[in-house]
Amino acid sequence: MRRTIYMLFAIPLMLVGTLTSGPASAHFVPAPCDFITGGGFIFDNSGQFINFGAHGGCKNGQFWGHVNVLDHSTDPPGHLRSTSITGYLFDPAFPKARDICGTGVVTVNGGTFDVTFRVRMEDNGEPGVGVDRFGVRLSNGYLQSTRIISGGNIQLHKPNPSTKGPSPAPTEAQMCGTLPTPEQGF
Amino acid sequence: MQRTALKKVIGVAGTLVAMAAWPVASEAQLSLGGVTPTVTGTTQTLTATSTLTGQASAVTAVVLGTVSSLADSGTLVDAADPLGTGQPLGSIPGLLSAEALHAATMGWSDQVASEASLGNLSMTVAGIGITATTIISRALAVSGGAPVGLSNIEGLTIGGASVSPTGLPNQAVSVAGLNVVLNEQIQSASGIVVNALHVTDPLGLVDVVVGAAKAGI
Repeated sequence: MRRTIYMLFAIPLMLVGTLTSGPASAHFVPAPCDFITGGGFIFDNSGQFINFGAHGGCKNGQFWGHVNVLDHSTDPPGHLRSTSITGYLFDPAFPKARDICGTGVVTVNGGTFDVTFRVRMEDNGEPGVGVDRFGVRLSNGYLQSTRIISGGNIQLHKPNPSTKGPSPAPTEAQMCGTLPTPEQGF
Repeated sequence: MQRTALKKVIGVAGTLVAMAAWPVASEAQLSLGGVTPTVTGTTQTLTATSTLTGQASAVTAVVLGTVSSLADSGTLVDAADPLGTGQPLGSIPGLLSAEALHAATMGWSDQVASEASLGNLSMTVAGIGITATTIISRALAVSGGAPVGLSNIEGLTIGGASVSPTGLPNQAVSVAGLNVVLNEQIQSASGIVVNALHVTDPLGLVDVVVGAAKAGI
């Protein structure tokens, strides 16, 4: 009898512990896969405009999307243009957010170089201003931590079972390399 | 015999769908220079109720009959094939420049969603300057429901004066003969076209749509 009671309580507790004790940075491809779209701007820490326009998701067994970011802290503004999308991720800690990872080209101060990037877009309701969030991190160390947008809107769209991602789903490291999410504290 | 009849139905349906022009500014385009607009509409399956139409573009301009587009998603043809594009900077010399342009259109078995956006718009039409910090248009068509359109226009100035969008569809603004429609929405039986900012000059020489999104099902 005691053994039965033990099993009734202990096993569910062990399962809960297993499900919640994973690393905080465990991000994965949402299943079924969905889409996120949006455009707008944030301000960097010195009050300069950071304009963005982006969309991402899954398509035909691959990842899909475009990311463009312009930073007005330089004159002319520096910009990131995505050249491939290598990941689309769900974060259990931020269920309304999606991360898009990829490769891109940065043009700034008269120079151009290749980077990998990771952007976070979060749809927290309508209108997007004041509630939705955006952030971007580049492999060269550039970071705009995820923050509330000051203009624009971000929309998380429902899953589409007919647009699947890669199978098997790649790991976070395979999608984003060593780039952590641009969330504050990472 | 049944197969022949079915082919006729498909043909008629396809023709009807193909009559939908993109973007709606194309009506003006036709009158301007006889430009044949890009025709959209693709039959996804054999049933008329599941025809998807979707497209988005950050900018479509007709100047003296010449059509220019920036960040045009192309035409949605299949729910399994979302389309999108983007560019960090875009310009049409002598007319406008913008940043972080993007356009996307996506379909499901029961709905279509399209979106276009850009930032830091700077445009001059007939000598009148128009600027905006952010422009977004969205169109959503859901099977069995009324289509929904939405525009976000922030930081808008026309002729140096600040203009506050009401948020209502088809807000008309006229400045020195320049006709501007904010949040232009054209509904039809098959869906909706949303033009966040539609500008035409008094002489009919320039027709610009900024932030166009189309969705139909």
